[in-house]
Amino acid sequence: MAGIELKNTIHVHRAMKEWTQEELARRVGVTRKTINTIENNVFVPSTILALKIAKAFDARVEDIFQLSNHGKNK
Amino acid sequence: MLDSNTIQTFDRNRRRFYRGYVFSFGLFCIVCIVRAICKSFGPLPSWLDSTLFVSLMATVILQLYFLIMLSQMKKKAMHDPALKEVLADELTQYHQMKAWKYAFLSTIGCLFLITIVSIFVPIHETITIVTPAFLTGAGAYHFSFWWMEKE
Repeated sequence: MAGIELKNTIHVHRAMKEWTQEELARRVGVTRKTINTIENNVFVPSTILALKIAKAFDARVEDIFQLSNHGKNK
Repeated sequence: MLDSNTIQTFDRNRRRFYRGYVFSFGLFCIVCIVRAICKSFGPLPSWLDSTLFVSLMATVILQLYFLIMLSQMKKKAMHDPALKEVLADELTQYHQMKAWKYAFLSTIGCLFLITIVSIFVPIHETITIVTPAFLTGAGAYHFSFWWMEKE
C-alpha cells in the first residue's frame, strides 16, 4: 500500500529491557542483521516473527508495530 | 542453549564462505570468457592453453572447497536448533527469493541478447546458448544474494 509504513518501537523496548540486538535476535531465533533491518524499517517482518518479537518483550504486537501514513495526516 | 556469540560467529563464517564461493565463481566465469575469446582467434599456443586450463581448474577447486565448507556448516546446523534457525532466517529467505528473481531476469536478458546476436552471427551449437544463459543466471543469483546478505 503506497504511503503506508510500518513503524516500530523495538529500539525503545530493547532499551527498557537493556537488551542488545544480538540478545533479542537470540531470543526470537533470527540473526542480528534481521533485527537491525526491522528496527530501521528496511525489512517488514512476517506476522509470526512480529508475534515472536512481541512475546519476547512480553507486550502486545500493536505496542511494538504501528502503521503510519507517511506524508499524510496522522 | 548456545550463546549469541556462537550464533553470530556461525553466521559470520557462513557469509565469509559464501563470499569466497561467489568470488571463485566470478573468477571461473572470467577465465571461461577469456579462454573462449582466445580460442575464437584460432588454436592457442600450448603454454597459454595450459595456463588457462590450470587457472580454470584452480577456480573449480576453490569453488568445491567453499561448497564443502558451506555444506559442513549446514550439517552442523542440522544438529542444533539455534544454528538451524540462522540458516532458515526470515531475512535470508527473503533475500533468496529476490536472488531467484534476479537470476530469472538475467537469464531472460541473456537469452534476449543471444537472440539479437544470432540475427547477425549464425549460432550452430546449442552449448553456445545454454552455457552463457546458465552462467548468467547462476552468477546473478549468487552475486545478488551475496550483495544483499553482506553486512
